[in-house]
Amino acid sequence: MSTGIISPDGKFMWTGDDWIPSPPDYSDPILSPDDKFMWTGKKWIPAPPDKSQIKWNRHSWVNLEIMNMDMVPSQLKNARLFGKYNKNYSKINLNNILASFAAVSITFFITSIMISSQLIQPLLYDASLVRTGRYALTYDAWDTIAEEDGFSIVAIGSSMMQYAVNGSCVENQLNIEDTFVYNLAIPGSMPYMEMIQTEAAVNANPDIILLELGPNSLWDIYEYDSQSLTDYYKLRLGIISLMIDDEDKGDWQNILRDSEKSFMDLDLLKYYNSEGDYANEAFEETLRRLILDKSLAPRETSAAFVPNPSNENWHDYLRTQNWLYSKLERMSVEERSNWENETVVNAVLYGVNRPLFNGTLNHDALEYMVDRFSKSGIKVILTSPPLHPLLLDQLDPGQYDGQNATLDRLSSIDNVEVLNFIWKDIWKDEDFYDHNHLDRHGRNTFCQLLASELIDIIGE
Amino acid sequence: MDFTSIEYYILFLPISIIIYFSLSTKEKNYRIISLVTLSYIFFWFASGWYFFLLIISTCTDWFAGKKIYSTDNIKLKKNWLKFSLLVNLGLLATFKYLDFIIASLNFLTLKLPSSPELGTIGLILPVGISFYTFQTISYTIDIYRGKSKPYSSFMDFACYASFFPQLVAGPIVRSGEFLEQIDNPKEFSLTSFRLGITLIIYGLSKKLIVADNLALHVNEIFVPGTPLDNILLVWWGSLCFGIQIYCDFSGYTDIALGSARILGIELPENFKTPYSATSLRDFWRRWHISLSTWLRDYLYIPLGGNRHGHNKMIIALMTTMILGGLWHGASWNFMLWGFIHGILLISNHVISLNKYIITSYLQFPRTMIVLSWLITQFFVFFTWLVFRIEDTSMLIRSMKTFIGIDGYFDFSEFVNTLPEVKILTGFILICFILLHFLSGYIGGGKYWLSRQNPLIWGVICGVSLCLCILLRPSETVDFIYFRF
Repeated sequence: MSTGIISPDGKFMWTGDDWIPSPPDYSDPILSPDDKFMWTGKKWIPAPPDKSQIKWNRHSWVNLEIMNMDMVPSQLKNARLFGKYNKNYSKINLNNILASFAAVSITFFITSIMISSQLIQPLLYDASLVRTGRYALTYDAWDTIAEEDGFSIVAIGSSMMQYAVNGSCVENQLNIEDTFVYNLAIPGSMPYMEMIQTEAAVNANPDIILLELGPNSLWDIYEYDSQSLTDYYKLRLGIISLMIDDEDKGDWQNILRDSEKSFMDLDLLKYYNSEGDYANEAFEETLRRLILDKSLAPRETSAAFVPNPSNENWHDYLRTQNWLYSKLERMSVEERSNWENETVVNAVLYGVNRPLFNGTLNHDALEYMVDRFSKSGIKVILTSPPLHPLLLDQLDPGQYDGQNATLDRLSSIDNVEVLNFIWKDIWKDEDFYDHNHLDRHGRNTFCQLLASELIDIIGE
Repeated sequence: MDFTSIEYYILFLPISIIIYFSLSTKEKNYRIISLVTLSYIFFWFASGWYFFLLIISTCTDWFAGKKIYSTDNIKLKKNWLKFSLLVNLGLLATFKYLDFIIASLNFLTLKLPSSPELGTIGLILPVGISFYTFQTISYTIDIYRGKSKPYSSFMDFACYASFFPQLVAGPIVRSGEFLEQIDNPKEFSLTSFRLGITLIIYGLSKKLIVADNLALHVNEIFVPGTPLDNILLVWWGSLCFGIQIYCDFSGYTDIALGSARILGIELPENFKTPYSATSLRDFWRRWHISLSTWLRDYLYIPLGGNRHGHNKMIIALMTTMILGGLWHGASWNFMLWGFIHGILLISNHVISLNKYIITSYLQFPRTMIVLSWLITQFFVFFTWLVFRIEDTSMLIRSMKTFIGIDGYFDFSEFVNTLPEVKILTGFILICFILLHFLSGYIGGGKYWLSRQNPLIWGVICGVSLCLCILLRPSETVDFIYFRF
């Protein structure tokens, strides 16, 4: 049996790979004259049958470093030395460093762009990550509109406009070749949020913009600050941060409050915040689809679903989307009447149904949009979608004067017209989904009315 | 400011590197002064006015070290050592353990008739106090033992005590190792720079991708009051926490090593693939190495170590492990954690002397390695429960469940209990386990990475960095060892 290699000063022992401190009690075992017993330091114990195993008894296998390495099975030796660091590294020169950091930067940006465009954005569209894919469509939709050569009419606004305009229907009614009517309205929106697409809209250069200006467009952002609104701004602006290009930035940034600006990743330090907000869930959803063959995405016929811009249905979707089916249609006459009397009438009391005359951030946003579109040669039609007749019956005298005054003021700007459908005497109970959203019947009526107005305007 | 804050990487570290290397190696003293100043600025951001405690600890040990070295009078030497221990351990006892002691006294005395309740002080634990006090104590003890000489310059010693990369959570550095390096300052080296960046990215990946995402699961599972009867849930929680704490702490250490390496200083390793350990002794050679060797050198060996027979060895080992547990925090569960590790180490010692075990290892090495790895890790993760759960009844419940007493397997309940992002977390966990062993196999993933050509290095670091930014949870998860 050979012994371990000890350094000249006796302090270190060679393991075969490295010098380690030598054990203080390293010595040959003391055996009885007949080799049958071994002295542990305190008592005699039976010696193992094979002398070559004596050290195992004394030091146990976990103390491999004080063993003669020749007799240790290689597996045990490897297990003991597993994880030992190999700190050899080659010398790095300047070219090497520059190449390394160039590779890091390029890989970083490519990975980030890939994750955003290939992983997160498709899942935002199909509503796997958010309540509705419409929050994501704005900038890609304007890019599509910019690429179209025909006559383009684009509706923007809140869910009132979203539920009012059926683009394909209006196109059919207009019956003018190469005319497209797009509906880019987004649920829960207000002019303060809509203004963010102004530069994208100007760059796309549509012929007409139907800009929603209803009584619910003119409320004071400060007065109604709440956690749910803050969450909404964060959601919208976070998604916009993922989609926005430099050319889409503009003076609307000056209207945004600091609290909302903080949700936008417009500077380098915060650039990845929004991507980070969705990355974990996007990876989770992708793995769920790959591993479990399951998905959180709603069906393609769902109102929440939006096809990806690369999808063949994208252009059709921008004109005719999926709308929620009216729950009122499934109610009996009595149930419907009860529901309407309770909900629709109460809606009058909502603050957003008391439009202000001026001075709110929503007014600022509207004025900015109208001015920017008008000066860019885009015709602006300020559109007020209809409201439930029951609601109108409950209005206080002059309750909508703020809206009327705002419409008057903005319509004096060049290239701006007004289409106020609220006071048309044709709206019936069955046209509505609730107090301010049209259902399929109402949408059909709205389509015909809008088309006839548009024919006059285009004709001029 | 800590190692995960953007300010550290875009301001503090670059400024530190520029200032440090703008001074030539001939201006060693200015370099040291700059490092001390930067370290105190860093500590100010991390700890606020508590940096005065660092000054007290530094001055005490500097003074005590000088006095011990300058006298031949054994009694005087001993008195100065006691003075150093009194101040350092006094700071620890006051700021870390006083409330625990009061609460424990209340627990015991309030059961006696008409016993008054003592009010707790509510002191906030100063960041890093456990680390820098242990570091400066080792300096004084080494001088007392005649193993090292005192630093010739106060600023050198202040630099040793406050060096910012390892100030708040180690590794605990020995004075000799550090002095040698600052006595021979190095010029800026591209090799060290890239190695340092590699270590930082490696550490950030462990912390932000693995540890912080696992933390969400662990926090969701070990909510006080949650029933922990499902064996799968307790195993999963324990596995997640074990990996969380490793990635959290070793991630921090890698960043510390990387930051120091850029400045030309090599700090000792703290971890060596601990979850590949095939025995509890092996585990402690791989886990928090700078603390375990500190405890061995300054507690276990002075208590007798293994030189005075089994009984004294058991007492020394149990004392060391219990105090080691208590070092982690002023709580009974940390003591219990140390106690259980002590028991397991003694069991390990006894079992490893058994001739049948030894013969089995020689005859079936591969099988026995796998078996001992499984058993070791089972107990290691079992003890993590004690480390994580402070609530006593919940801890007992979960420990029983972990070993199968009164527990049940319910996969669907287990899945429903987990947070929403669970497949990704499972995926991260599996990737970590594979990479952990691959890293051990190739001699340390971080050093392997640092040897790669620019393209491979750039691709791996670029992807890792991107995932660090994108996959870090929105909720900030503090470094676990900052609490200690």
